Amino acid sequence: MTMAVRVLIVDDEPNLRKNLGFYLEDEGMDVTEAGTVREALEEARAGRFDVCVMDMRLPDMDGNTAIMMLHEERPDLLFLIHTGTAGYTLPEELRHLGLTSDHIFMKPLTDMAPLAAAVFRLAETGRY
Amino acid sequence: MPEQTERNVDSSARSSTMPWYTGLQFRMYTSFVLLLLVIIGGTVGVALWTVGRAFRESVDYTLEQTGNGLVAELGQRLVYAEGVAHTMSLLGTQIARDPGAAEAAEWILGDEGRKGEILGCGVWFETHDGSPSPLNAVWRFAADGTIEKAALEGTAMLQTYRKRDWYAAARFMGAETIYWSLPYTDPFTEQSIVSCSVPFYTEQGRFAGVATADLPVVRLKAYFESALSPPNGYAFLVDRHNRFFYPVPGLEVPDGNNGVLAGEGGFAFPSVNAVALGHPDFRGVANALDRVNEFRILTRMLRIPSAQAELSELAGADLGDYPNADKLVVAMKHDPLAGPTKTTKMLEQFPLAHDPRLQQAATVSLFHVPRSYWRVVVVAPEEMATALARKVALRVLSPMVALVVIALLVAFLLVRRDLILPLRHMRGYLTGLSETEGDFLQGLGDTAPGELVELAYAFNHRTSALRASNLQLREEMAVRERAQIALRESEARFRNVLENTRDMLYQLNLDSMTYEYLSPAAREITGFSPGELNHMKAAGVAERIHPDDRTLVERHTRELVASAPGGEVAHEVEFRLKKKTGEYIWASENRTLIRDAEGRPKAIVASIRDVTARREAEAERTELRRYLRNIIDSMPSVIIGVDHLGRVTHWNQEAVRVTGYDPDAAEGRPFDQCFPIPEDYVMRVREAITTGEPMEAERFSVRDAQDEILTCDLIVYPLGAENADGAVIRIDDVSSRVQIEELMVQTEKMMSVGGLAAGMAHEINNPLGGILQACQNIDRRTSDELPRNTKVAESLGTDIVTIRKYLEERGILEFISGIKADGARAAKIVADMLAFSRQSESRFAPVNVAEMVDSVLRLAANDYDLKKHYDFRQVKIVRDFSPDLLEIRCEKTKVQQVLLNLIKNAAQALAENPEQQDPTLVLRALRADPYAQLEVEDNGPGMTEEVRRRVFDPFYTTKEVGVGTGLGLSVSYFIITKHHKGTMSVESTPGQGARFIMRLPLDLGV
Repeated sequence: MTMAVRVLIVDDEPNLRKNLGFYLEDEGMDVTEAGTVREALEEARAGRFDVCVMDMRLPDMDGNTAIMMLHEERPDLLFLIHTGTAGYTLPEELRHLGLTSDHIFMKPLTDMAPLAAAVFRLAETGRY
Repeated sequence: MPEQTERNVDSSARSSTMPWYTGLQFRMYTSFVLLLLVIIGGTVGVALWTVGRAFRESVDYTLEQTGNGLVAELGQRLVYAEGVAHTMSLLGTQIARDPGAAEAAEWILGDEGRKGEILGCGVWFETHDGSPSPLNAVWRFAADGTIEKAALEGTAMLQTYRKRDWYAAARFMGAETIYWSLPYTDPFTEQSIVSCSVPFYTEQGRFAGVATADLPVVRLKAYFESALSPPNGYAFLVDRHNRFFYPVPGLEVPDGNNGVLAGEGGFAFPSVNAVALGHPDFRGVANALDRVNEFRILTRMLRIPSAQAELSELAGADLGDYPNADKLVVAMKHDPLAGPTKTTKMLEQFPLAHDPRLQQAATVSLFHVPRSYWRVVVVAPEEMATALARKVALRVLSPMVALVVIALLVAFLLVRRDLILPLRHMRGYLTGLSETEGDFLQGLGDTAPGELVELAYAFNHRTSALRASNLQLREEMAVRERAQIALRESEARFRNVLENTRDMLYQLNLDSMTYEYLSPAAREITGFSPGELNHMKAAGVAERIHPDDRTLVERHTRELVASAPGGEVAHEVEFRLKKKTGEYIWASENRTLIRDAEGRPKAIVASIRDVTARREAEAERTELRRYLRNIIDSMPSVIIGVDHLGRVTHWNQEAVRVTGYDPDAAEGRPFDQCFPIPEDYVMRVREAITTGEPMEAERFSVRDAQDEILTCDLIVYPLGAENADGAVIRIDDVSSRVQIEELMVQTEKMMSVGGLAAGMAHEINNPLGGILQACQNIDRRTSDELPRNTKVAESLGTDIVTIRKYLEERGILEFISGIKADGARAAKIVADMLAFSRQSESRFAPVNVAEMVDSVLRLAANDYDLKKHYDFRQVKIVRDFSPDLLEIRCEKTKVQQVLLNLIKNAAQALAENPEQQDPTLVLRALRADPYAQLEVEDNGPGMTEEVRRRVFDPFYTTKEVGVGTGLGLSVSYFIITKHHKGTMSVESTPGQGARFIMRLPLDLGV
């Protein structure tokens, strides 16, 4: 049996975070949750993750900066963006990492299956 | 024997009868001399008094005519400026709309100004904040005759014009009325001027400003000085405040500024009262002027009830620096001395004991200048009148005195022959009888010889005869005197008329074709003296008639001569006549035929008047009328003039264009028969014409000659007082403006929705995400597909299938899918709303039209919603793609979204209309430069005007609750108009379907 996919979900909305977590757990993933960027950084330092699902509006920092900081900490960590901000576009540095519009999921998700699929794809290939 | 006796009598008389004889002779001669003196003195006195009186009246009358003439000519001069001011006021309205129209001012000023009558003109705009308008402009003639636009910046005029009387007063005047200002000094040319101002109005009838035309005072000065100058008298002009327009020589203000202020035509305006201070003689004139100064006029005017009413309407208006402006405006409108029925403008005539300028007694006449309330003062020397009277009296009296002297001489000779000589004979007898002592007759007694007695009888008889003849002579003389005085009087009047009339009079003998009479005015009219004209004869004069008019004049002469006695032939003929100087004048000749006793034509009596000024003024008026007509015709509005019964009197080109009726077809008919005004507006327009109240109506529909429906605004301006002159109806086609307004409102609504959505999207999306994700988890965790579900159920002593069944049985799963569907709908609304704000990165690329439409049709056919509710296969789909539009440059996904939306709407509409046997959807693409036009047309139930108007409004839907969000069409609209800078509209007739039209720019610069 292969190692379960390790996912870090960063979102300040507990309801959203938990529901996404349950779904991914049901998909057989190993889910860790963080409500702030600080928590996320602590988790990233403490353990290893394949994929991080990142919200954009967080209480202590914006998601773009958080991604860059986590990337510096763990260069092999891959990211998906899950945001409710209208008209969100990828900044240049994230494009540089390899993120594209395929890696952006707009809230609300009526079906979480495509997100779960994207997580699997990233974990399997190890690149964007 | 008689000689003997005489000698005896002589010799004896010397000694005894000398004293009584000498006494008698002396008394007789004395009586004659006294009689002579009394008769001559009386005759001279009576004649002088009568003739003097007649001349006095005649001179006064002449002075009145002179003054009226001056005022009339001055009025002519003012008319030129008034014409320019009128035209400028029309231009003012134009400039407000298009500042470029200001260039026409130079054209308007052109000819009038070059004649020197006008110095310049200007337009002054009313602004809401009281600051000067940038549209204000003034044009001035430079010294070389060119027109300059004067720079207004930095002039005090710019800051104060709203306070000036010509602005402050003119604003009350009402459209098309004229206000003449007080004289003032023009800051640009430093010349003294008077301004003629005419207000103008915005399209809505609000006061918009004042147009002016300026008359240089130096021209008025020249006019008055040339019209009458000392020693024959003089005339001058006084303004409403009793100030001179310019200093008059000899009437200086002591120690005041009497001269030229600056430049060539800048003057001081000394007041009449200041002049009277320096010249006590002039006080009489000042007092008379004081009786008719502005204050007195206004006080008098305001006793008229209608004037009071009008004044109360103006109460509370801004009077500027001219506190009487409102009263003055009312006074001018009610000027009792204006109007054609007032033939004399004379206010007063009075003698002045000593005129300071003429240095003698004078007659002063005051005249009123209508419209401007200026006054003309004419001062004529008294000497002129009395000298004239004296001269004529001498001419009348000298032959009369001579006649009286001759008559007396004859009488004296008769008396001498018949009385003195017999007396001398009788003296002989008396001398002979003297010895008898006693009285002459008594002494004669019975002893007197029969001859002496007879002589005595004869003497007695002669004495009585003499007395009778003397009496008769005196009576005859008195009669003759009266007759002669009357004759001279009428002759003097006649000569006065002939010599003073400005018309040339002549009498032409038809046999000899020579002039029997030519009046002195011939020299003024033709330039030739009467002598020269006599020499030229009628044939020579006929050659000086303009070749084009010669046949006309000859025909008139023939007809006049050939006319039957008492026949109807026009007396008047007008032609051009070449003066001696070579220039042509317009002459108006009034002819009368004179016949001899047998009724044969004998002579023509005619008067010729120089009507050049009138003809030129007529030509100018015609030109002005043509110009105004052009202005009215070139206006983009329909302008219809109607009379008080609503019949068309004027029909401009725009009216022709819209209705297709020519002016000939329209004029004289009721306006509502010529212009398709809706029925309910016709009544209101008629009411406005009747009541004289302006009326406005907005946004009504009119079907034009091309059968297109226009949206129009309408304004009715009643003309004249008591609506006697009808009204002007202006109708503007505001269709495109209404469309633009609708578009703007639409866009604004959508932008506000977009802005709101962007702010709250995040806040709504997060909880929605929680709800929707929770629903999905509930669904999954109650399904038997997850092994963990089965495991947990078993550990709790039940099984997942039962739980799932329970949830199904109790409808809980349905509740959850309901929550899911509603959450999804809310998410869609937020996403749609966001579309209004999000200017997504443009991905404009050339797109094949046919391919794009087909892909959308495929999408529509497979659309779940559409399949569920509407049978798309039954709809007949027509693709109508023009071959000249293969590709359009657009954002493909967006345009597809729009097309899909429209096709879905059309399918829904067709489904709503089951009666439609042949449901058809037409998709059309064509080129309408500079646009690519896409159309989606259905033959469904269509929509009402009310729905059509609101169809693009956000959240407006006609579908059942839950079926539509009310955003689909507004998002489509937004995509086409904002993203693609195109237009989107809809046409629909209820019951016949709807057509959505999108236009995308062909050259979308991306």
